[in-house]
Amino acid sequence: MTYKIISEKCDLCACCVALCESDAVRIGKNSAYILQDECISCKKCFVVCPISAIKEIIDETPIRYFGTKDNEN
Amino acid sequence: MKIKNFYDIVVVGSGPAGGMTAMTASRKGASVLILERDREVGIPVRCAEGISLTSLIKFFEPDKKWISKYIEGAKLYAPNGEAVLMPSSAIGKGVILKREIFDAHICNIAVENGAEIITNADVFDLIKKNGKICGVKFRHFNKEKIVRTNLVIGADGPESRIGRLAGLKTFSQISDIEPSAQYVLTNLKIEHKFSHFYFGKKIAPGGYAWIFPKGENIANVGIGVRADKCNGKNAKEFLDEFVSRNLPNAKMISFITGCVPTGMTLKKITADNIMLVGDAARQVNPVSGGGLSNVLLAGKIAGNVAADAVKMNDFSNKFLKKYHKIWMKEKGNQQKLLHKLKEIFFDFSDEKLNDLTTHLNQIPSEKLTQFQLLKTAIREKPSLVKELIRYYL
Repeated sequence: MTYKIISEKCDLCACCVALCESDAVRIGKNSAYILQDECISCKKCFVVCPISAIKEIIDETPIRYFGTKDNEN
Repeated sequence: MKIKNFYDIVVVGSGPAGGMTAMTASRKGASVLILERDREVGIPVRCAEGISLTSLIKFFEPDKKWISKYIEGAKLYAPNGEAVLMPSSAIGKGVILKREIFDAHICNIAVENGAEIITNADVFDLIKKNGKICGVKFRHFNKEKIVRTNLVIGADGPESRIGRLAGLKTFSQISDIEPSAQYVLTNLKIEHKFSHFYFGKKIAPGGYAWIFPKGENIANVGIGVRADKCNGKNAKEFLDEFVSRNLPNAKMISFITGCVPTGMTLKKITADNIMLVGDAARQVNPVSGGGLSNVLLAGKIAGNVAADAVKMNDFSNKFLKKYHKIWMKEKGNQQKLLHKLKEIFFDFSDEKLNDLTTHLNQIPSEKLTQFQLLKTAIREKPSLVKELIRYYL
C-alpha cells in the first residue's frame, strides 16, 4: 500500500508531518508531499488528515506464476 | 533587501512563540533574524484565537487593534445539549484575538529592538561544520541563501522541521495530535458574550467543537478530534455536521485546517546550538488544545536563555538545557498532569458527561470554579485522585 497527497486538496496543516515517524512527509510550497522511499506505509497520515487529502493506493501489479502446466516439459 | 552574513540568533517561524523569543532576546541586546516561510507574518490564522485575559496581560497591555472581543465566560455543552455556564467571576475573562495583527505586533516590537525579519524565506537545511550547527539555508524567491549563526531556534510549528534536521525526535503519536478544522462564520444568532464548547463522542470524538465569538454575529467555529477515534470520518465532516445542526443559517467567510499537538513537551527541546519552542516543542495545553498562553511563556523563557547564551558565548546543550528546566518547572510538569487528565476526561462516556453537567448545574454559577469542575469529575472517576496525588508529590 502506498499513500499519495492530493495536492489540490492539501491545506498545509502539517498533521501528517507531525505524525510521520520516518520523516517521509514534507511540506512543499503549495502542498505536503510523501517521499515514497522513506514511507513505511504506517497509514497514520492517511488517518489523521482533517480533510482526507491523502489517498491510499493499492498496489495492483499482477503477480506472475511460473511453472504452470503449459510451461512443463 | 540586504541581510547580514551573521546573526547571534536565527529564529525560524514568526508565530507567537518565535516572535516572543525574538522580542525577548533582541530586548537583551542579541542580534536576531526571524525567517518566516509565508509571505506575511500572522497569516494564515490556524488558531481559534482564544486566550485568558489573565494570561495575556502577563505579557502585553491589551490593545483593541488586535482584540476582536472580550469574553465573559464559558458555556460547556454536554452531549444531550444541557449547558453549564462558567462565568468570568469564576474563571476570569477571556479574549478573542485578531491573530494576524497580534503576531505582527509582537514581531514589530522585536524589530523596534533591532531584530530583522525576512518573509518568503523557506528554511530547508541547517549548515553544519564539524558536526556543529552554524547556520541555516533558505530559499527566498527561488534563490538559495545562507545565513550563519550560533543559535537556531525552531519555532516552525507542529511540522518542527528544524528539530528533525537537528536530529531531535519530534514526531507525535496519533493520540497526541488533534486534526482540526475551523470556519469563520457570519449571520449567526449566538450568545456572543461567551465562548461555547461542545463535547460528545458523536460531536467531536476525543476533542470538542467550539464557537468563539469575534463580534455580535461572527465567530470562529471549529472542531478538534482524535483521528483514531473517528471511524474513518475526518474533522471537516464532523464540523459540517455540527454547523448544519447548530448554525443552519450561518454564512461562511473562510475555512482552514490545523494541527493541535496535545501531547507532553518533547523529551529533548535543546541540543548544541539549537532550541525548539512553541508547537514545534509540543508546549500546548493537552486538555484545551490552547497554545497561546503557553507558547508566549515558552518564548519568553527561550528568549532569555538564548540572550544569556549569547552573552556567555556558550551555545552548548549543557547551557541551553536551562530553558527546558525552567519551562518544565513553570508549565511542563503541569502539562504532564493535564495530559493524563485529557486521557481520562475524553474517555468519559456521553452518559457520564451528561451526568457531570447536571451535577454542575446544581452548583450556583458564581461558585462554579475550575476546582468545582475537578471535584465533580473526581466524583465520576475517583482514580483521578491518584493522578493528582502523583502530580503534587
